[in-house]
Amino acid sequence: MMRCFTLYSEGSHRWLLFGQDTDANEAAVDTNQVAVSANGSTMLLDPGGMELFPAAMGALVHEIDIATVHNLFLSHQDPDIGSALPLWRQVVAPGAAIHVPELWTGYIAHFDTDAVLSPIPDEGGEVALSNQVKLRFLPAHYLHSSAAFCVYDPIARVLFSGDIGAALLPAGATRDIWVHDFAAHIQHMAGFHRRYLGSREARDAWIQSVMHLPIDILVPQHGLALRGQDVMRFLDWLSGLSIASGLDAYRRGIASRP
Amino acid sequence: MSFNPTPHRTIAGIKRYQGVLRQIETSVLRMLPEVTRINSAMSKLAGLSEDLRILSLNAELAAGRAGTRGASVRALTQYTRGLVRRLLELNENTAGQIGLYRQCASSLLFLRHLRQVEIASARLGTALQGGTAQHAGLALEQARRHYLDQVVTNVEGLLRAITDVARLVRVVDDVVGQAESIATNIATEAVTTGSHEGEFVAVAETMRRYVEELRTMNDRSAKAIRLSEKGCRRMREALAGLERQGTVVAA
Repeated sequence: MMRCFTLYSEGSHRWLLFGQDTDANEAAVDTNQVAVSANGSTMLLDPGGMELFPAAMGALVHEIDIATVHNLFLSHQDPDIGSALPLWRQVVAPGAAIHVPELWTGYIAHFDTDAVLSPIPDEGGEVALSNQVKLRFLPAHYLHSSAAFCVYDPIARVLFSGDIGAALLPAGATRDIWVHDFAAHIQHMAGFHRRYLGSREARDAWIQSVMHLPIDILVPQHGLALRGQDVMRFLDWLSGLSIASGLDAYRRGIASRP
Repeated sequence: MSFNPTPHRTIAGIKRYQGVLRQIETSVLRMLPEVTRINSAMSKLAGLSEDLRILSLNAELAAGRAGTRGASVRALTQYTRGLVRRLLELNENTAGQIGLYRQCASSLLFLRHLRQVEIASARLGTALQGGTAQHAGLALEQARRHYLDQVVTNVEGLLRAITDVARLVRVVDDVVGQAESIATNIATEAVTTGSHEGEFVAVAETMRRYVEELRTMNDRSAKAIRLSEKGCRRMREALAGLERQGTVVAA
């Protein structure tokens, strides 16, 4: 059973996270699917992989009328992000917009050649769910994907950070969605960030771009969400982290052998 | 095939449906090695046709050198070239062979989608009531119909592709029979060509070897086609059963 966590709720404006599916196949990495609703319109953020669709759909419809899903957002091109796209497209509102990084349109089409994609330019963009609630697509290129976006909601002060802030937690355990002990949580994030994030320049530029934003909640696509002071703690930790650890393989790798 | 839709289905019905989907998926997976055997066997057609074409040209030159004694052999070699043209034309028409892979791959993809939609339906069936459930149930029912239609279309396409390849195999079989007769006739006529006899006997033997290779190729394809066609018809029946299951009304 996939669980639902309310990250933010104010009237019809809600951020919901669906994840920690107890029936999920452990071979596939655990993912968070996020829905943002306001005034009868919903955007699904990184709706997930093909195998996860039944669980995600089952959990979602407990909370949200599927007919209100007018927008789908794929932060980047990985299969755990959106290989279920053709299935979602069959069940959400007809003609729902599918926002994807412009760079990846031709690649995401491999999941669903019939999908009409709305490309997000490198600079980012904005989509209104209601007159008040407007979601911003913020660049997160090279973190880890060459074209990636986060989603920021200035009213809820929630940042969906995609793979930034992701943590790979031990399988099987059901838990709260919030990080309660940031220092203890670092062990679950460190390996992922060191290896998957490849560009120090991009990391620094991203931190600069989000640092001035009021963020109460940072929710990644894998693992637990951060809130309050933990958001700044995370940015501080990330800014000093040694990343691109895969570069070491060039020295150790088979090509360097005589 | 037409589909009789209804949004009311029992959980047991959905589970039976899932079981049939798994059987169909297994059938497609079992068909893939047969399709590979067909394509692998038929891939030899171009090479054998070319060998036969060169052989007939050389035989015609030899018949020319033999003068009037080679006249009957020349007529036979010209007939052989006609057969080669038929083989080469067949080889250009590979749409059926390519279609086999395409239809198998698409069927597997849509079956996988359909299975996920069915799992979602089963989860939904036990969990929800009210307007939200109606919207979700209707959306899943439409998705199910969409994917079932796609699977049906693909299985029909697969059957058409198999029929195309089977037709090709029958033509090759016909050519093989005629080429065998020509080889026998060349061997018979060789006796009348005096000093050229050895040359024409060699032509007849080489042609028999090529014919034998064509026959082996065809036999391998024919067996794989029979199995594929049988599998396809079984899938078609199972799909028709699924369409009937779509009309099960909840108790």
